[in-house]
Amino acid sequence: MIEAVRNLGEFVLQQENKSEIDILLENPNSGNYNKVIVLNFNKDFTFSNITTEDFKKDNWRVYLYRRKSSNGPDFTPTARVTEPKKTIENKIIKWFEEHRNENQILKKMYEELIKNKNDILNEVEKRKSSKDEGIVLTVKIDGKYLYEIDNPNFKEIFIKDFYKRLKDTKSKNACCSLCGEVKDEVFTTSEIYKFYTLDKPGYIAGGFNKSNAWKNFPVCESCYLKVDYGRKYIEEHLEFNFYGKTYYIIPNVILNTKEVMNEYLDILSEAKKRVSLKDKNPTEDENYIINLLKDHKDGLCFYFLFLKKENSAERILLLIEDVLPSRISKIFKVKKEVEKIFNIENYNFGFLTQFLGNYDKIFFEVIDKIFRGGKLDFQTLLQIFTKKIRDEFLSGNSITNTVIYALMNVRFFEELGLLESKEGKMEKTKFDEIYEKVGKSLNTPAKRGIFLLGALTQMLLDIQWSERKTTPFFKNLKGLKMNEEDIKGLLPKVVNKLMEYERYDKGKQELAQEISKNLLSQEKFGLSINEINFYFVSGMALSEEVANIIKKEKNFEIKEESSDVEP
Amino acid sequence: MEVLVFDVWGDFGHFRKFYTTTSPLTFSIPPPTAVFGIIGAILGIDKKDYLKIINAETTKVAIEIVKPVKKIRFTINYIDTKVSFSRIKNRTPIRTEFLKDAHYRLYINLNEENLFRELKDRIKERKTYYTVSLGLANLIANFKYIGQYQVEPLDASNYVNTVISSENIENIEMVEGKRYFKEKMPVDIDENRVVKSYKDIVMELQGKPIEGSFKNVFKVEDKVISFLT
Repeated sequence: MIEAVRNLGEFVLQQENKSEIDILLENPNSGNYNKVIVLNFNKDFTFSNITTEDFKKDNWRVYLYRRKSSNGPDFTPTARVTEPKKTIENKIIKWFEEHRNENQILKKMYEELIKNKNDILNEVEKRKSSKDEGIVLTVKIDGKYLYEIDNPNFKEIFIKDFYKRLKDTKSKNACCSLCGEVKDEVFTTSEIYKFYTLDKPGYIAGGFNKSNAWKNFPVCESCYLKVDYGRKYIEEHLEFNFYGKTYYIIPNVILNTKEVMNEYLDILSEAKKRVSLKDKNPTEDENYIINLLKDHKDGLCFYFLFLKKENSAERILLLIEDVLPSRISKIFKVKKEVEKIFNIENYNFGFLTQFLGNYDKIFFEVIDKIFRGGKLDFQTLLQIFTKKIRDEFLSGNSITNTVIYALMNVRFFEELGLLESKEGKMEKTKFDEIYEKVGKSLNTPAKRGIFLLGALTQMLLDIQWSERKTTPFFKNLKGLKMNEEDIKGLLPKVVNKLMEYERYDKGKQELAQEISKNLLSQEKFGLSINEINFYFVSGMALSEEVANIIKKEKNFEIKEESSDVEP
Repeated sequence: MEVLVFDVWGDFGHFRKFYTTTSPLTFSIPPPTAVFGIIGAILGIDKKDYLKIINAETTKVAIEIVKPVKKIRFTINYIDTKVSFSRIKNRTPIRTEFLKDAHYRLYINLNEENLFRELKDRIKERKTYYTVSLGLANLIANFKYIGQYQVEPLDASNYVNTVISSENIENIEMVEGKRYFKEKMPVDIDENRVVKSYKDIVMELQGKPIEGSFKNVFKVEDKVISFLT
């Protein structure tokens, strides 16, 4: 992965022709830092006053910013304000304090800051109107920004400090792990991604000795600049949101041909365009990315990196490594099929996160399998799906939509080949069309019987609701924790109730016959409680369609008010 | 030249990508440097010495993926070494990526004839001095002798059964349904554990052959292999 980031950085840098300092600088505005408070110094380096200005979005390099550490100063006297007192003391004054012996001017500026500390503090506090407002604090001399000042040369100081920190453990004449070439000097650093850290000796392989840490991950200066720029480019242009989870897409070239490189370039320029459109339509991310990646040749592949940032640490939640355009194209095709089967406009991963949102581990497992292939455990998925359906059921909400979403997900997984399915030979019936909708897993008489019983039960509930505006029969469904015996006992209860309501017409009789035929043809269902209840609620959710089939066949009238019933 | 062919497999494997520590990821195959360690373990050469004898100059390594590469993630408790290294005060849960049901076929040649013969005898008799593992000591591996075969150099080939270094690829014909992947990994290391060479390695993650045009390849029975070292 890291070499793909480096290669991306190299590729972009070739086109943009940036200087070393421009690569290393960071944009201090990571979101809502729209105001800048400036500590102004006169030409003779005496402190003048404090002014406020708008953040220069298009020219942020003038602030000469790069974050260094959370407690100490950053690489220059530009900082993001957290609490004014802490920022002024620990970031700004401390920076001058650390550099005051290097230069007479810096010493004078330091003394000026100390002299005016209280006034500065009061003024900054006054200007920071609200707690949540993001403010950048910087220094100007004679109206010039840090980037523009030549004496003292803040750029030089920045680069010197930066490399000093970066090259903490280094060696001469060794092989760089990113370009593979022997370089005069290599070093190791956790400044690239924070999932490579050296803060604990246990992380240093080959002797736990920090001075030898460079052997683990040696990088040369040129590759460092490329990978640093690549990372920033990815964060700026290739960051996407997956229903609340941030991920990055990193293109990787498998085959270095002109055609593939042109496609690579296409993706990058499309990504650039997207950033400008992002604000207008932020929810389109997922469709956008699938559309963007699906039509490319397999000479490219993509890394999908789900990263969690915790304070200054970064943890890899999931790295999907070999996502090929052909796979993305297949996902897109299957998505379209699901939309066609269920007659909806936009099946998306939101349907999935509804169920898996709280199960991080399984969520990432599922995402991994969707993009890479493999097999998912159907029972685990059913457990999660039925739990959500049960929760909705018990809190008195309509479960129809939730069940349909679960069915769509099952169908999506089946079509992608992620579920093991043993297709049994089943005799043809008039309900085949609706069985098809539930999916390949509805492949035994018992499952089909339970499904139809669910539909018949819903019909009864609809009748109860239309006649009594209440549905007392719900209590027979045992909070959707019915077992095999419960199901077998439920059919006579449903039939009996329908007779009491005098609504046990020929269509329903035929349906009841089909149910008992199916339930009786298997001595033991061999199904888990989750499975039994999942097929049952599927029948409930699709009861209207089952009713339509009977209607179409026999032209019997089945009049029900609505399938959405309040319990 | 002759090669010794043997399989190594295990329930789990972990060959840590060098640029990860707090979120360890694994390479999809054992890098040649890990294969040197496996050979050293079977022969019983000390940790401090084996790289003097078994390295890219003395050892040829080709790797075939036998079972599709599967990766899973689970959390293991590391010892938190920030406060104290020797006395365990804290544990830190680290989400780690592992290879699942990893199975590889190794094609090995050692230029030292006696050592090569000893390696063959040991593998044939399933004898090992140190326990063989797939990357970490507790991910114990099994191994099985397949055979010793004559290697025939080919001028070129339109397919290859092993993973291959990108420097030996002239072209790849992308076939639908195959999972191609490329990553940079260490291929040679000296006795001070300084990596001497990193290469881009291309592989088909399901263990299927790669089609295209390839150079520096060798025929071994009905397979075409490419050495990484």
